[in-house]
Amino acid sequence: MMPDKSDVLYGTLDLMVIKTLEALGPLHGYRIARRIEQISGNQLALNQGTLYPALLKLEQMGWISSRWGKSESGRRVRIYALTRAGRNQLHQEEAQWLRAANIVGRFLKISENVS
Amino acid sequence: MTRLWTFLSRLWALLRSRQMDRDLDDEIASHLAEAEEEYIQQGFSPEDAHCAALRSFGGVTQTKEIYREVRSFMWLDDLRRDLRYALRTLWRSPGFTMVAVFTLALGIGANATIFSVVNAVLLEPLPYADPARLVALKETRPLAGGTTGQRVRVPVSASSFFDWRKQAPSLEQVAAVVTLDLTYTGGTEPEQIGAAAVSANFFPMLGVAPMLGRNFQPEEERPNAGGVVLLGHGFWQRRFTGDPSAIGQALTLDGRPFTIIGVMPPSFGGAGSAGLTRNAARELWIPLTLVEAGASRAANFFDVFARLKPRATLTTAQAEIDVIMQRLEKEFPETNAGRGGKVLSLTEAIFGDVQSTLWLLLGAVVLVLLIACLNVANLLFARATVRSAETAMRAALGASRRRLIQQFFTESLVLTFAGCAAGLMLAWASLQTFISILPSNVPRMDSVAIDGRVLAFTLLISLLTGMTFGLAPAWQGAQTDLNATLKAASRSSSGGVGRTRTRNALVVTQVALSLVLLVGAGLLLKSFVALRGVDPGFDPRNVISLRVNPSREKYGTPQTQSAYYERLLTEVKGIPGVESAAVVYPVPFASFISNQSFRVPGRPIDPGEMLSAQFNIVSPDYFGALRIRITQGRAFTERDRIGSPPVAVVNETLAQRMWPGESPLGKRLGLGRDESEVVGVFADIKQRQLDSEPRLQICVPVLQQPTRVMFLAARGSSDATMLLPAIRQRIAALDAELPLSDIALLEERVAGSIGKQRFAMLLLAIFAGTALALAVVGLYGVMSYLVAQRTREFGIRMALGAKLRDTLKLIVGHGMKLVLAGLVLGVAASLALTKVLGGMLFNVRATDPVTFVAVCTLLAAVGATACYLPARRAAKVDPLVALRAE
Repeated sequence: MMPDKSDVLYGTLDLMVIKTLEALGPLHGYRIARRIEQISGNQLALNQGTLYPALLKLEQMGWISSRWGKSESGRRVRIYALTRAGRNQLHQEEAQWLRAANIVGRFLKISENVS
Repeated sequence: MTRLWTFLSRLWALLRSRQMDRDLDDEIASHLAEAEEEYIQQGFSPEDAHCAALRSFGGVTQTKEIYREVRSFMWLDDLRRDLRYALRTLWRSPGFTMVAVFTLALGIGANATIFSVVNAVLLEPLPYADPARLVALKETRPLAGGTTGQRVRVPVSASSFFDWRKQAPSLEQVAAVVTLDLTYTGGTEPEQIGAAAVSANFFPMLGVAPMLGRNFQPEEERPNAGGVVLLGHGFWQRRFTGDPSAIGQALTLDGRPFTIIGVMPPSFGGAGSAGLTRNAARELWIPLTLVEAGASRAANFFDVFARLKPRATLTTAQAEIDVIMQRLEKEFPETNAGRGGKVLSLTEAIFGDVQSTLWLLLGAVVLVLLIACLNVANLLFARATVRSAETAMRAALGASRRRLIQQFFTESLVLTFAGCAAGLMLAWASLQTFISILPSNVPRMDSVAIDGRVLAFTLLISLLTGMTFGLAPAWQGAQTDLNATLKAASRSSSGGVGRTRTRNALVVTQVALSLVLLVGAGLLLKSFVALRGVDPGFDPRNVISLRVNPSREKYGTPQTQSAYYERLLTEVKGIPGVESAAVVYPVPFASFISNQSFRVPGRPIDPGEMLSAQFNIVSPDYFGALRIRITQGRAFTERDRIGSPPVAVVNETLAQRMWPGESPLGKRLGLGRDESEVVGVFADIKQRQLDSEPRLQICVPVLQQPTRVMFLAARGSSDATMLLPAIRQRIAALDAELPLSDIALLEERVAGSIGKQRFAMLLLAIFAGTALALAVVGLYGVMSYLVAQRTREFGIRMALGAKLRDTLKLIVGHGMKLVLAGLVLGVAASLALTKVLGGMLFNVRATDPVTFVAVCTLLAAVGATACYLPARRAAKVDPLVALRAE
């Protein structure tokens, strides 16, 4: 039996999006969604639709930009790219996340030891 | 930075929301197409691929909804939708909308009107530099013949002015003013111009400078300095057509030459500075010539103003004046016994008695608005109940409570703003009428207008209004029990106990508030009627009065003056239609009175007692012409003239106070240097106010103690204004250069003296009437609603044998319970609130039981009618129809 897929942790979708854009360069929405699903090894229950409000929010904050272009199959799609501000933000958040994850990880270890 | 960016892009999105909607549709479509293609490649059938793509995308509609929320200001989007919805629903129920908007317009419009007056008259700062530091100074003395401790404020004597100027360290720039009328003879006919003689530092003290030319120099205050004059802007425009070369020209005033040295700005001297001097508008200013040596301590003529030094306060200035006056009292007991001084802020000196009336009216009008609010709230409650099925449906479809409240509230706001707009129009339309009924002595009333501040005030109260009447119904309206309401949706739902209770409370409050206003209006009305009914002691009907101003050159001596008035009276009495005529100075209810101190030889003087009486110089037929009763002795005759033994006539009050238990006839009265014999006693008359207590009064004969300026009073057999052309003609025939002024019927003068009371009474009555109408409408609405709700019940009752009477009793009984509760509450509130009227009432106590009972009866009767009409409608319904109705 397959374990339950975990929900996307609040606020992490943004980070995943900009990290994806950093790694792969400009992409359209469907590609971003697929990429996130692939990286998570299909462990995330991502409603692909939720990506679009997230993309809009990132764009409003000025971390990504968008333009209309063509997909590989020739469809008219909106292509998103990381901006310089977005790149800075990514570095900051990356560091924060690692630190946070590290702390949580240590807690978990301590609890294991105690029990 | 990020936040600003977000804000800007949302703003941008707001402007191109339609384009963005299309873009999103495109984007989602291509997303789904890409996904489908990938599924097909994985071997799905086209239909399966389509479904799978949709499944992995999640809800398309939800996505769009969230996207929209992120895209722009959600609340704005909602607001737009709510507004559209509110307009549509209001449009669909025009009856409700019109009643609500009209009610609000009444309340808001009345507030805007009263506030525009308060704003212009009281709130607008005085047009002087740093007006908070300006003060007015008065002398005070015990009220002659008044109860102990009562003091009157009187003008200041010349010597007190000099003493205060030198000895009060808190004051700088102490200036004196005396108003006078100057005869200007440069025009086509002689003209009497309102003028003021002022200290040279008067204008610098106020911080007002001439618009053209220069101010007075200190040396121009000296006697025998060449006459100089400053022109008012109006006079300059009128006589010199605004020509700047007027400066330096000569002007003949009272037969003397004056040099024009400057022109005052238009804002000064007109009604804009009214109240600064005792008689409103002034058009000419000349320097006040005062010499300190030998300045009089006894004659009080001057209005004194001063500027407080930067650190000084009213209290420090008052303390200094008190010290000075106490010292003067010891030094000069014969003139200064009992005298004191009073320092007032300039605002209080100018607006003192208008202030309380205006604040009272503003209070009343706020009550009216409150009642209007309650009324609209009541309507909204009723509406919310009717619409509860709709609300429940919305809630069932997923509208959050907050959204529902927001939506109801938007409707209230739309109503408010419609009411606000209509109210402003109402205020704008009624403002002129309103100004015309203002008592004429209200300062600055010509600047009353709906300006920015009035608009802001109106908007603010409208918003407050909207919140007051809108929030509670919105709250309750959004509170629906889904199941109950939807199940009952086919029947008319009963609003539930809580809702009915709220509406009952609203009605009770309305009745109580209207009772407060009605009691206030009733008290003022009763007081006004009492005041109007006061016998002034003379008969003012059909008497025309005007002021005659013979020039100083031609009529400088007592002989010429008495000769002139004797001839004038002969001429005027010869006019057909004139029953009788007299001259008197001053005529009762003129804009001023004359006071004179007197002595009673041989009578011991109480320490601190100042004997002073209202003083009139009269012709022999004065008592006959004004129909004043002579109770003892005789009136004056033609034989009481210069050279014959001096005589006086006193009123009953003076006779009783000075010679209790004795006949006053033949007694001596010291007036100035002379002693006069009392030859007669007349019944007390009112000279200035109908509500004043009896004062001491003395009359002396004009032929014996003539004075230059007199009032002519002529009694006609019918309308005395018809006599005016003939009187003018006779006066001109005697002396073509003699100006007339201050023409008025005696009746008008008396009525004018109670203009303030009339105004307050009239307005409060209008407001109370409005309040009553609103309360009745509210009660009627609640009763009609209640009856409609219970039609079925009444049908059953009657089918079971209840009589028409029983049903009526049931309904009216319920309504009257509300009315009675309102009456009880209202009486309690009135007893607490009408105290503020205390000072404005004459011969009526603020707790006058007659007024209270009358008002309660009126309200109960009107309330009973408002209950009876819907009740009868319900009771007349055929039981069969009622039972089938639902």
